[in-house]
Amino acid sequence: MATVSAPGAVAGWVGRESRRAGRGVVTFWRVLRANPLTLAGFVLVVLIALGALLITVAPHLLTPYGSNAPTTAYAQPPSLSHPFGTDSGGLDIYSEVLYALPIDLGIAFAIAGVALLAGGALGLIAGFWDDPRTAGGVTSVIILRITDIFLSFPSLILALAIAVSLGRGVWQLIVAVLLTWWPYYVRLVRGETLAVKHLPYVTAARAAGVTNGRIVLRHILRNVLEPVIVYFTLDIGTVLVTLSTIGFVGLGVDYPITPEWGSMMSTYQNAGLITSYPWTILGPGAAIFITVLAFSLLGDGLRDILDPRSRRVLAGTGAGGASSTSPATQQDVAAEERPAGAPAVVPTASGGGGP
Amino acid sequence: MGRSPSDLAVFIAKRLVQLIPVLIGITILTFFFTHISVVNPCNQWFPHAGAGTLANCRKMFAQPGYIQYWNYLTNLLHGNWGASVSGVAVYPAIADGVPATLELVLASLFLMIVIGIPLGVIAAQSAGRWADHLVRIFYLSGWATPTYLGAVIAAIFLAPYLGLPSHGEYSSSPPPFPQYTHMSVLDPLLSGNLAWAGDAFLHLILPAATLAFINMGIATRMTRSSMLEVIPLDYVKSARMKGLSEFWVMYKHALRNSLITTTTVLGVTAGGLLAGTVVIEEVFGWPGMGAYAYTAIGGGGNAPNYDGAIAVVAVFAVGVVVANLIADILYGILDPRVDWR
Amino acid sequence: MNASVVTVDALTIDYIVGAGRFRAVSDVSLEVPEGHVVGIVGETGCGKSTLAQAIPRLLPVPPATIGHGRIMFGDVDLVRVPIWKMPAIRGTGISMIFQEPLNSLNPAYRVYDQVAEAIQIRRVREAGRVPVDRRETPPFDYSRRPQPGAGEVLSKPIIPSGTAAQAARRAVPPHPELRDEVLDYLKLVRINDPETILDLYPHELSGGMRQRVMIAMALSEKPKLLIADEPTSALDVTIQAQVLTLMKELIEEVHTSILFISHDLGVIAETADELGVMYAGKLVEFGPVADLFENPRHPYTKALLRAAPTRYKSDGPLDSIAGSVPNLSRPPPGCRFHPRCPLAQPICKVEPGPSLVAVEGVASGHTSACFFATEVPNLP
Repeated sequence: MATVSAPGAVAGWVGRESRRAGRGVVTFWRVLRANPLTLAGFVLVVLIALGALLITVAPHLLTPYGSNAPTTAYAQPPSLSHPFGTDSGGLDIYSEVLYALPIDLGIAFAIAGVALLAGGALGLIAGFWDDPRTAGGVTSVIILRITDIFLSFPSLILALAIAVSLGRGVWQLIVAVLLTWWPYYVRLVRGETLAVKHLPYVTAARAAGVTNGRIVLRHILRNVLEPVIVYFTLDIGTVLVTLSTIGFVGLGVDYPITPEWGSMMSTYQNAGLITSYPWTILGPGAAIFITVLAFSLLGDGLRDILDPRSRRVLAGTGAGGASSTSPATQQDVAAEERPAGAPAVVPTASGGGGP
Repeated sequence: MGRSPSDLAVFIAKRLVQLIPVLIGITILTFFFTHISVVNPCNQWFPHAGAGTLANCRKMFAQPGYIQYWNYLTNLLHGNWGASVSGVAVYPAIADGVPATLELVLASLFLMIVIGIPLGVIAAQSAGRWADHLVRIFYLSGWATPTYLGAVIAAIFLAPYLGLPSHGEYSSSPPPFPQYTHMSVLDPLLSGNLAWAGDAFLHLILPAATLAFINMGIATRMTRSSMLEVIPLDYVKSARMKGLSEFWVMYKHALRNSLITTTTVLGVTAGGLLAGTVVIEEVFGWPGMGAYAYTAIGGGGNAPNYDGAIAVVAVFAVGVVVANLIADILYGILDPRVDWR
Repeated sequence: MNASVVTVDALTIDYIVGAGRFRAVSDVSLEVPEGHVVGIVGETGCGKSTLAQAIPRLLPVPPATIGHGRIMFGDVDLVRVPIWKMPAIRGTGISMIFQEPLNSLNPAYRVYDQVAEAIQIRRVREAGRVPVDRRETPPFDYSRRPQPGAGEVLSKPIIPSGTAAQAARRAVPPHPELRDEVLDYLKLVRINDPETILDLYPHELSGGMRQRVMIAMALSEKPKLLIADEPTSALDVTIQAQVLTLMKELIEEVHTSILFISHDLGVIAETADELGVMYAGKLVEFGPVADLFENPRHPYTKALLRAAPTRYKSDGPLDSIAGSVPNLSRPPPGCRFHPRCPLAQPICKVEPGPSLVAVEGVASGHTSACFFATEVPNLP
């Protein structure tokens, strides 16, 4: 709750912010309950996180084989002891896929996380100080021009080119993708900041003499956070796909020394194993597909709450858990025709809003 | 309000002018990543070169950055884009690949539009019901499939099952057609050679469909959410009240307005489509820029071809910029509220 | 009395939103006689727009559900018509003017395209072809009906009949002639420079102009019933007066049956023949306009009339109705108006208000849903 020492009139505006922040958890559960796919994504993400934790802390619980420890079974099709089969070097693919899980996830979170922090900070600056006549405005223009140029490259291709210059390895992979990834967060955060900064409660806080820095940190950041977190969830999947593609092209990490799904596929593809031993594609392919799908299901469902129309649908269905209710139209008619005294059984998009 | 053809020309010209700084920025950025940021470029670029090449290279990199950039830029504009280690000139190799890549990307874009957009409409019409969920699973599956995985599955497993070719542009070396467009389907078609056009078309199906499936999500998602915004509006109701059937209400009245937002997003997908060609063309043996890029950056364990990599990255960036320009112009045309002057 | 174009019989509409459920329209019965203008007034949220949109089945289902009741349009019960057959009834059967002229015209098409589309739909139907749905003969086919008053809604032809007859024989008429007909309709709604307006997009028109185009579009289908859902509410006051004048003149000219929804008693007084007053989803009083204004027989109507500004008391404070509109998910027991009613007796808290019954001492057809209708004249 913002404790702004403001005149009474301002207090009302400021109160809006705390309500919105408090609504987050409630909305999250409402979204999960409203859409079975989002719930499925959430459950999968939790399972994947558990798997990553277990394989790091206590690998023997999940697999009897160590990382990069060849067995004597060469190129065996899937069986009970080798659920995804083995490759021509005798590695149990199931174990390798599991050992790659924390590495892939770690790299993806590192990339998206740093991109979020760096790009987000730049976006906040570019969005908040957007008056071109000031020093801040000039800085913003420079940030935006550079961002635009980065955005005109397909990020995968730029990342590939940078990866060529940097050579192979985990850190090189992170840097290569990161360099192409931050501009998206600049654009996102700037747009959200611009949308929020002219809302009445920010103006009110400004009128009450709150400093710029405090406005950004207390008022704008909090409202920008929700869409950014949702985008971040969805982005984990995209980063995973991108870095595994770099791995597939052969510019990623060095498999089998470091297990990584894209590099596994690359090794199998280049050795011609996929045609002769087709099951080699099963493990790493399914792993990347399911992981990305999990984050995408969750992120895409969460993104619905950012869509004012979808948010209304979700708010309506969520309250009663009746998942068969239909399009966005419902709330409109209801809102129009709802008798003046009817209660807010319908927390609409603006439900937490100002007067 | 300026919406006359001459206003349109001004509108397009303005956007072309706005492109210039972006294009300069692209060259600066590619230059930066390849000439400045690399620690010891000559050793990296020419790991097996003789002393003479290395000395020349070091001399080049010893110059001040702006002179290096100027040389790079003049070479670029003169079509002097360098050569691979084995001496194959970069410019003609890339130029040869452009039509094939364009053909593949346009075919994918076509599939994305004719399949992805109606799916978005269906999802919006049934928001929150099973059809909506199915559409979501479909487009998120594409989203979650790395290009290489989709390409490998399509080329190795799907192709024999469907009886479709999965390598190259033609089944065997075709007779020489007049090269109007340098596109595998169009050239035989334009010269009336239907058999070869059909053959090329069959070869195009799998790579284009794979590329489209992987990139379809954005178009579907965007159509769905903009339709959800449009459907409750009064003009959709008034279209219904005219007595139009639901199909025409949706596709003539609602979608027409949703498309305005969807178009801008299609520009964004150009990046994904172009990036996808790198792996797709390699796996399907499609002789375009993507396959060239794959080899140039050292894909599949080859020695990298740095001159080629720099150039092809810049060309891809220009492709994205042009796609966004087209989307921007289309937006101006589709939305009658945009003033062209 | 004439035959009625549409008869609403004990119609009940609920909204189910999440766990909440409220009854937006309950047990409303209403008749629009042919050639008459029936007005519906009520406060915002009293269910009048829901009623208006329920008749052509425009309400999204869910959340709206039509609980029971019938909507007889001719001899067809619209409630029972499958939704995919409704397009055949909309347009030439029932047409509608919406509240927001800003939103009711498609921003992507020129005025000409939008009006011409409506005209073409009508022509195709007049020619006996039903383009919207060929699976079954539509429940209604106006072209095959004999030519009674019901068939020809616009009794005063606004276009030369020869042209109309020719048009009817050709399914898709050539453009110059279609253009002429579009022009005729734009002239009908008193648009000064129709030739220019034709090629403009909605955003290039003023609000009043857009509403005129909307009216032209609705009339160009020659509907049997025109529903005007607060056609003037969203306009500036001066424009409101112009559009209202236009509506009045058109009502004189085209003699079509109109259901006129408004929250403005003044607007209704100037246009309608009969008037229904809605309160909290119920029709509380119905009667000929003049009689209803002279002798209101429901305390709510009386209060509404007192609250309406008139030219006789433009200065001084306006009266308002004490209390607020009830919450429809938990309506008050008994008569819904009793918490605010000066006449309320113990029975009003228990017994729901009676259905509309004729009242003594007023014109025939004047009905009220109040137990103490006869005491209403004694109210201040």
